Amino acid sequence: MVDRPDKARLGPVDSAILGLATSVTQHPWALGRTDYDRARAAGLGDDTILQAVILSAYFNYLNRVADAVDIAFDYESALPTPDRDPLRDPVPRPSRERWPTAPAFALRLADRPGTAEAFDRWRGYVLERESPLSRRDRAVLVRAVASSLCDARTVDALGDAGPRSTHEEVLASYAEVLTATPWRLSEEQLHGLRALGLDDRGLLDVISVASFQNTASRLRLVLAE
Amino acid sequence: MAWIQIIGRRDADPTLAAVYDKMATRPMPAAYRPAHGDAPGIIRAHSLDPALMPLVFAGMSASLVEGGAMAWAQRELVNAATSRLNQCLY
Repeated sequence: MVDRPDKARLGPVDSAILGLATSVTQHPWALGRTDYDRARAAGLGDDTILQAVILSAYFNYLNRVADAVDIAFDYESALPTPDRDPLRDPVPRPSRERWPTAPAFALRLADRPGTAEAFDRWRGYVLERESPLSRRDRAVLVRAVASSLCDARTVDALGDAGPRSTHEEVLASYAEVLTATPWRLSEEQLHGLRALGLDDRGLLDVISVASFQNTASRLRLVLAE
Repeated sequence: MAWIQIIGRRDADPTLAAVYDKMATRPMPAAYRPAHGDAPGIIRAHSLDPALMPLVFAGMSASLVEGGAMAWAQRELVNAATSRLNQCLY
């Protein structure tokens, strides 16, 4: 279905939904008005497009937390375990001058008020606390994720949050791996964070901030404010 | 074994236990209820931060299920495709 969508025998609506999830996950910076028009032409209404975008962005958080913590799969499933290629490279990012400076779609998160409120509460908790991570450390993580996703507006808003120390470089490097190649996350990388003095509670904070921003930057790239 | 400490229901203090109880009241398809009876792993992954757990799950997740034009199978299509593309086996 994902590896060979041409063989999946999906109808036009489901194919369009799959296309949106693929784009939001792999190259949200490349979405544009034509993608919206294509989804509408396939029969998707605005609310379906909006829900698909938000849901995919949200699952980009869950996936990263699961892999960063290495939680064991614990649901019942008759499906075979899919192959995983740790050497797979991420989708190439465009150069800085080609990053989008406006959202791809005219749809807004606020068009789903319940989700918008939940997202604001989540963001406030993750980004506006002073511990275990400092506000500065959170900004470094956010900027690193945003940069990895070509989220120009967030990067520009955090212009002074580029890493300025070895401590911050370790945080930024982890955020970059978590964003671009989450399948390469390892316990060794967490050892590097532990060497900064972070305990398990602090590690979860790093993971949750960087993973949250994977959702937030995707939403910012695609949805209007 | 997970790479950070995970606290399940059995070892939860009253604060975490109360959050787990709240999580368990959410409507959930049977496929998302693990046979071991504890909270699903992705929820337990947040156990060191009980305040974060309801924000991620009872907040965001619940709001995405409510209303909207996508059938459950279509939401699962998005979830599965996203996970496959991220090579997330969970």
